[in-house]
Amino acid sequence: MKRSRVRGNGLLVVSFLLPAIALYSLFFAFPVIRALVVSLFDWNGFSGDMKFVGLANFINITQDSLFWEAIGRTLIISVGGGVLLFGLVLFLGGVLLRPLRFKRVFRAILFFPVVLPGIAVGIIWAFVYNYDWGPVSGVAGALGLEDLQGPWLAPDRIIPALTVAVVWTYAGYYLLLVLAGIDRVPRDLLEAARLDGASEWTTYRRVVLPMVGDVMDIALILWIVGSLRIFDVIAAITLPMPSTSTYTLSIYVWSQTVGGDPPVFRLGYGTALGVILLALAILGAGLSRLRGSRQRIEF
Amino acid sequence: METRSASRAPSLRQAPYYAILIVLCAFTIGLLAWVVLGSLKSNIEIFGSPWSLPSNPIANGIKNYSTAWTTAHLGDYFFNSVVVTGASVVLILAVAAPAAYVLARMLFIGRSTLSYYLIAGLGVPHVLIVVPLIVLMTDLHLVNTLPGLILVYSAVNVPFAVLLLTGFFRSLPQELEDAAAIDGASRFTTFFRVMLPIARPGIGTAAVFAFVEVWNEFFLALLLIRDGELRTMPLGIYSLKTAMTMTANWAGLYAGIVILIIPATVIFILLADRMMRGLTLSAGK
Repeated sequence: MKRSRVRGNGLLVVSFLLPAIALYSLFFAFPVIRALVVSLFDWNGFSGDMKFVGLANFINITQDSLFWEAIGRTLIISVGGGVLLFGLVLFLGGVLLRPLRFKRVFRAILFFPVVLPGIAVGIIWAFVYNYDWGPVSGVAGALGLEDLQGPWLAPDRIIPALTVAVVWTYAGYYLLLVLAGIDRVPRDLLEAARLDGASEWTTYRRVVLPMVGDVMDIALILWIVGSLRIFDVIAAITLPMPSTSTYTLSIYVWSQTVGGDPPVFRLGYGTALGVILLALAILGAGLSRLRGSRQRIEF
Repeated sequence: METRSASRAPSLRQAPYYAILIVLCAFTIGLLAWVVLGSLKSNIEIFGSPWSLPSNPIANGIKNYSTAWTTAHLGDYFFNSVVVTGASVVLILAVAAPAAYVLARMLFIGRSTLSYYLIAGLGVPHVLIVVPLIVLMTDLHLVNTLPGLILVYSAVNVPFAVLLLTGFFRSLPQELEDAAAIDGASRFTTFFRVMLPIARPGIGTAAVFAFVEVWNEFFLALLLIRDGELRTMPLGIYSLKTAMTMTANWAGLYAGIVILIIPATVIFILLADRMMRGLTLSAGK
């Protein structure tokens, strides 16, 4: 692109970018920065009572047992759910590499749950786990496995139970991302591996997967960022009065700020919890990049 | 890529893999069918015979859907959701398409910084901005209004739309722009007359994703909307669920869920291929 042409188009650049930047900055980026500031205050919502406390909120958070429990539950979804989800996705990626018919249909049906609203997913899975008439309880009862009949939505079991729902919702989406990477692997490489006598699974593990590292990085980052913030699926069942033993970090933020019943308005503290959620997302994304760069050096 | 020996008896060797895929897909379809069937049952049937087909689907269906649509006001909420989603999708595309075009096709100082800035929002959990957003919207007198919700929805969906559309504009051939430039067209004209028309598939994909995202959004609506009559569909279903847990009208809730998921499901059935291709595009960058 010639530089002269660009210089003459300064007006175009500005006028094309300005609406997006203005809208995004005012209603999204600016509140994010305000949140970082609010997290340094003790504030109950009345403008006169805003008191600067430095990092006190964060120090108090480290001594808050509800916070650590909420982190634990959040990690059940992100790490436990992530292992389940990526295990399933990698397995299905290998399955769909085979010469099967109706692949597009299978892929589409597996992808479908991602268009469902989280609130619907939560309520549908509340039906699934319903002790009286849900299929889980029905099947477990028929097999005589009383322990597995439930109640699955009791406070001590709801997060693992809903992690399954979350994996069901998003597996198809991540499968699609990974398949996009697999599609770019040159076919003659697969053919060569096959001629060398490698089985389908060996080919997949040794030839295909190492070449989709970059897509896996993106998928991992998206999962970490997305799974940490999951709210609707849980809220659909536990709100308006979630038991403290069902708090994930995002639900905890909600109930500390404006979402309690009645609201507690610990606005500074709640926002500081949100900042930690953001930090976890950034940290998680950073860690998966690290994994990615190591892998790229290997190959 | 199929070897000769395998093509002769492919179905048998691949049978276990078909079985796995069929079981997984059957689970999803079965789950949805079960919800739809539940919406056609009476409450007694849901409890008493959860596995059987509805005994009187038409009468119970009419009852459940009219309860949900009228008594539970889902009809009004549906209308609110149509307004909010329609306006948000238009606004998202109106601001994101030109921005993505400039970011993808023109060189200027600060381009990559701006790209990162606009896309960084993808990583921000929305619960973080609960407090500043409610303060801001109160100051602007936009709290508890549909225009306020539309503005916020548009803002938080800019990152994904810009990401998707930047990838799309980048994939278009340079020759068209060059030809337009030689013909003496300004960049404005080039964008509106040349680039936008050929970018239609990409913009359509971005629209579909924005639609699904906004139609389904619950958290920000819960934060910003107080009045019953301003509820969007997800909020309406949430309040229906809260009410139905007390009235134990589960059949009505099943019907509400079906109404909630119909639009995105129809769009999915019509546009599944385009959505899946669009995702691939955004992942490739």
